[in-house]
Amino acid sequence: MLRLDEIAKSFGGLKALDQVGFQVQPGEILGLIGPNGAGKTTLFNVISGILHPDSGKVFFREQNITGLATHQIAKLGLCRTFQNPAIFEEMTVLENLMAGYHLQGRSGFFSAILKPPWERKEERSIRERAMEMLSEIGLKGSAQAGAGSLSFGKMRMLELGRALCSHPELLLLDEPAAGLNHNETEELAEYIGRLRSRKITIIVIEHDMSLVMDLSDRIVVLDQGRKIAEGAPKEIQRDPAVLKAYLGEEDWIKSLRR
Amino acid sequence: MEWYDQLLQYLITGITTGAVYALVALGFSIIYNSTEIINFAQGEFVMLGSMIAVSLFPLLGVPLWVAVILAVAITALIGLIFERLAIRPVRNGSVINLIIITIGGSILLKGIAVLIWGKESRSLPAFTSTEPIKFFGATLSGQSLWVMAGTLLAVILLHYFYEKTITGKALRACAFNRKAARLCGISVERMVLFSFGLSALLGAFAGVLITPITYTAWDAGTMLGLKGFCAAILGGIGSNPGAVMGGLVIGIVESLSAGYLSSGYKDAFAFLILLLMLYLRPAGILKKKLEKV
Amino acid sequence: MKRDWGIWLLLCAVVFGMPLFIRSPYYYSILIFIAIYGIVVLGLTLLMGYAGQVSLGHAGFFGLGAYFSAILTVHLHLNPWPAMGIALIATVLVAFILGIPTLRLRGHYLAIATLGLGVVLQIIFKEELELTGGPSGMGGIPYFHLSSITFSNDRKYYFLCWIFLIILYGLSINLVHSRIGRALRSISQNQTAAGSLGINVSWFKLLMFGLSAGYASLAGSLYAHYLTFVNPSPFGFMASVKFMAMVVIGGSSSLWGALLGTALLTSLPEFLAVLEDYEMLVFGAILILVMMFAPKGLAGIFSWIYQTIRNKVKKQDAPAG
Ligand SMILES: Nc1ncnc2c1ncn2[C@@H]1O[C@H](COP(=O)(O)OP(=O)(O)OP(=O)(O)O)[C@@H](O)[C@H]1O
Ligand SMILES: [Mg+2]
Repeated sequence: MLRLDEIAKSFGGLKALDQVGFQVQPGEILGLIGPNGAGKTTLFNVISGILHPDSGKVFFREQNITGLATHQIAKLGLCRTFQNPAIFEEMTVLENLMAGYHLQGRSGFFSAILKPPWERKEERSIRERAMEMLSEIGLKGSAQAGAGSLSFGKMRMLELGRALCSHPELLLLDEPAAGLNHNETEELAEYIGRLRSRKITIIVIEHDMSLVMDLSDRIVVLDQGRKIAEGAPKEIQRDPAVLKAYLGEEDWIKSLRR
Repeated sequence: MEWYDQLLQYLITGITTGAVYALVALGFSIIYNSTEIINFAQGEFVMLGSMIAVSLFPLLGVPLWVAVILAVAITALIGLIFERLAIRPVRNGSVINLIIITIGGSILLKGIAVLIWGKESRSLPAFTSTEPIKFFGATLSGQSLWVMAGTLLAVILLHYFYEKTITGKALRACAFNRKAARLCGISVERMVLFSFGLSALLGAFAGVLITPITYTAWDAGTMLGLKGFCAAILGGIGSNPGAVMGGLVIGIVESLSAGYLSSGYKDAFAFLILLLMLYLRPAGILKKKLEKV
Repeated sequence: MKRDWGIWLLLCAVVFGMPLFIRSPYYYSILIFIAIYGIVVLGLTLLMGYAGQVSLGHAGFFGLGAYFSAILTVHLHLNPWPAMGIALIATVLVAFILGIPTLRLRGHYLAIATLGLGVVLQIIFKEELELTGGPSGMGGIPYFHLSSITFSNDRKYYFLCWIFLIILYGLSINLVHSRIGRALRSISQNQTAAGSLGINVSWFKLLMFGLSAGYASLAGSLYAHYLTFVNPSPFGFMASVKFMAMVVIGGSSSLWGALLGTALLTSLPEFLAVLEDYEMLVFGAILILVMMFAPKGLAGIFSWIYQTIRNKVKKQDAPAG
């Protein structure tokens, strides 16, 4: 589904990514972990085309997507969420989701200004589908609320729902549980679990170890821009290199061993 | 007459106007560094400086140098007031809001100038009645010398100020990293206020220097401001040495193109340079502004 | 959506009702200018308020429309209608070409670059003497004809301009409430997120730049065939600033707000004519004050009043029901 070949990216003198390579199989959930500043978000930015790597290649469904623009990559079926929920705060919750259906729509400039019947029909169907998504993510009551007025947890759900609207085959989630309370985290975990049955491949960055360990089929660990381990959750928990990377962060080690 | 006969003269003209652009560009840089705002009212400071000097000198009958110093000081004060009244209340507004506020400020200042001084253009006498210096067939007027020397002095003082004084160092700290500066106990608000005063002062100084050569009027600041702005961008906005270089380059290019190509298109060249800079080096210039994802 | 079309209908009623009350050609000419500037401002609102891209150079495109129309009809003796169409296409083309490098810039830099484009365009109008007549301008531009009607008096021209405006307003309402409108608004709020949803950010920005230049061009043609004379001075930096001010004072993310802003700023100098020297002072002060106290413009104030009243009414209803 996704293959990374020796990705490198530096900011000034800082090597944010250093020869990172791994593969993701269709239908799997891959956890991406590592201490703060390890380069996880940077890797997502490279995969989704927001940043271009200094060297190395990204293959998505056997196609080389290195250097393509973000929207072109999205069109191929790859969507992501952001570490700080990047919702459109001045639009309503419903409109956020409808924007998520952008790739599903066909109407162009002339049908937008002239509004022929088929354009109206398309808009109606997008609206209906957005409403369905709204109840799926549990935000039905807030359809007409301004997205900026949602609680942080709901913003995260909204962003996730919006990403799903584009029917991605590969979904990148950047710390989806950060800032959520216990209940919200559980709901989220359950929801992501359900996505598995829809055959959506997922890479998830997460600091909540119990969540990643439960969800993921496999885990990749980054530290200071380098991949230091890859394997099943059980193996990762015992991997000496991983423990060393988290050295000094006692809580983490505890949560890893749990 | 061969093309090189005039070259020296064009260069002198170019350096003289370029020096003024450099001062204006420095003003842009100073404000940009402490606020990331581009102050569209910068040219009006130039106009105010010269207008105030013009009206102080014959009206109050004070000596010219007193009028010049007073004019620069009053304009600096106007810069401070402008920051307090118009900029501070909206410091965190959107880019569009800030652009409009400074443009509104520039129109307001022009409006005030029209009310006070009317629409005729005015002039100052040259600072000294120095005989023009002639060499290699070119003439260097006394006032041109004043402009060059004045600019040089301003640049040296500014450098000294940034390197040696506490306020100067605090300003640099703000430019480098506002949050860190605040943590070190520097009052960023004061620095912003101060940078408006300083850049108004530089603008006014540019204005009084050039007025004996070019005349001044209520709308004389607009073009000077825009050119100064091109210079600031050319030098890489926020960089003081860059602003000076940019000013000189624009001044010289303009004077050469007016001399050899077409005087009508002379204004266009400054803007074409500006556009080329923005197009060819957007990443370089935009480095600070890239959205962090 | 319903509210927008309601306002549209209201506008239609006002436009066709107005002539019952107005006799003086002076008022007609003010209304004609409101319509002409209103067309520019509608386009600029789509660009600034919806796509979130600043332009300080749209007077240049307005000028391109006017000069293309003038040159095609005066020098090449074309009929004004096809001239208007060719001017439209040519201006949009120019905007697309200039827009490609320009729209990669953001924030202040975009403002500066568009400002530069506008200034350079105006210098071209001034300097291409043979084509444009230079600073003193060119006259003898023919009126529009439609079979036997010649649009030469203010009353007829009033209808022509406002019909153009009403149509463009309607198309803009459609655009705003469409898949593209949504894409534009998402771009203005977060370009990166918009891109990650498959929205082609640079294309939509370019499209809006071209579209708004097209609106400006149509307005420019209407301007040229109304005055039958063009010179470079109305197409400079100040004009661009005024257009932007109209957008923002009206309320940049509302089409009707933009029209309100246009009406206000176009008629203001007429009211202030008595205080001629104060015009700039007042204009500058208005810009600053509106940005300080009502950053969402007049439309923002109106919707705030509307909301407050609605809430009051609701509260009063609640105990009864
Ligand atoms: N646009 C950028 N410009 C400069 N440096 C950057 C940029 N983006 C990231 N970095 C740096 O690259 C390194 C990796 O950052 P990244 O955001 O990828 O880490 P992360 O693993 O996502 O960390 P966290 O868990 O805190 O989110 C950090 O040192 C960061 O400061
Ligand atoms: Mg991160």
